[in-house]
Amino acid sequence: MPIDDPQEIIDTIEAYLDGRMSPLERESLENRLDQSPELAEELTRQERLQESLRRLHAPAIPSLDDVESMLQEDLSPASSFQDPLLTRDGRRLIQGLRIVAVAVAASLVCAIVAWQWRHVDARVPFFETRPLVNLYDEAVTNGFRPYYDCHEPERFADTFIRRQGRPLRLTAMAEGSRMLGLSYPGGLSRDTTAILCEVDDEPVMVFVDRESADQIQPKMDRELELRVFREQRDGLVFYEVTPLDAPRVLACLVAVQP
Amino acid sequence: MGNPDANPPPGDSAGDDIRDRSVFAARYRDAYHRLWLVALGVTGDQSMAEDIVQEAAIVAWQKRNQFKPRNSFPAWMSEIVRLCALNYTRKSIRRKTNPADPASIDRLDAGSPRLASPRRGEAVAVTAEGQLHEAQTEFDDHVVRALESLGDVPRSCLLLRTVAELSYVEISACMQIPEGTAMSHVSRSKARLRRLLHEDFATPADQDL
Repeated sequence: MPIDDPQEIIDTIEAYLDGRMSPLERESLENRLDQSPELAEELTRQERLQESLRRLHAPAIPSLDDVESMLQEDLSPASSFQDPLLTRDGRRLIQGLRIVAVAVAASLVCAIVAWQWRHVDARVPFFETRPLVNLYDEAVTNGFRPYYDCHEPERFADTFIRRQGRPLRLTAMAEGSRMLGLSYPGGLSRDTTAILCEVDDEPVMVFVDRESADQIQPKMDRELELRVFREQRDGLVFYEVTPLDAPRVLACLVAVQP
Repeated sequence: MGNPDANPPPGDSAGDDIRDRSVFAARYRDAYHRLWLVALGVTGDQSMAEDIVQEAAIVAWQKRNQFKPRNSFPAWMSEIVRLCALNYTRKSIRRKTNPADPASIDRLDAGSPRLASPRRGEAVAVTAEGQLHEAQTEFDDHVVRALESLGDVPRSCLLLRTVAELSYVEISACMQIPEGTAMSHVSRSKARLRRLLHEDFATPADQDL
């Protein structure tokens, strides 16, 4: 019975070449090839492909001697390939461990960088304590002008809250005394606040800071003929640097409840 | 073509101890063609397939004590070759590059990047005057390109069946897939090649070959 369907022709020849036919079927097909040009053509086409595949894939098979010498030479356990006999679970485990190792390493690097960054951040800018009499002398030399003319009690108090953690109030000063303003010249610490006053036409400075920032100060600088009076109260330390014989401002500074 | 299913598996001479180097070498050599095809099927690179098969031999020799005598040596070796080849392809994908050698470059220049056979000249059909038949080599090039379009498992199955003439039982053992799946891969691969070759190579001159 002739075969007309092209797909059937293909399947028949494929089964023939693939060895899926019984001897009887093979004989029958071989007899039909002469009468069916379509079958013969398909056979030629498929044989040609098959021959091409074989021709293209003929490796040079090594000799026995070559194989034996290869096995003899390469006995080192190290291989450039990952061990292929590892199971998929094993490979996943190794991959998982690698990921964990990378994550741990990355965390360590981040921690070190963060620590260094914080360490750098925690470092304060350079600061050097200086004798308060020198700061007084500089202020006088520079015209004894405050950085900040502060005459409102609230802002005065706020300044000390911000810098020393305690609000201060300036009570009424004696006649012939007045407060000029505030300066931040350093001294005991970066946060030392100086109150510039005029007492009997003499410049007087009071340096205020936290007790923890206290530094030993010379009581009197003979060359400058200055006196330094110290008071410590309410967690604060007060130094009045003055050319006068007695402190005239310290008594006017009162720490108030925040 | 006879029925390859009737042939005994090559190199499967039970009773020999593969821990003996000579026995191992002989059985490895007998199975070499199919092992090379397995590697080629996965990698699509003939020279790399040789390296992989050689590497797999060394691995297998180092692990020869794990081989169970009741098992098929070619199937055991095929599995090792396949895994070596898969390792290679995984690394290649990660690297996004392939090692370059002059043969690879020649093949790239020829427009057939991976599968074209460097030995094609040795076995290709020649004319009565000893010249390469141009149409034949052109057809081979088309076959190579069509093969590249197949997946690694279908390609391996097709080559093992068509070139090495393994039975589907053997292909199933080599590729660790069911026999029916192997058969299906071979059939579909052939159909795909036929279609691609028909598209690429349906010229009147072709019919004269």
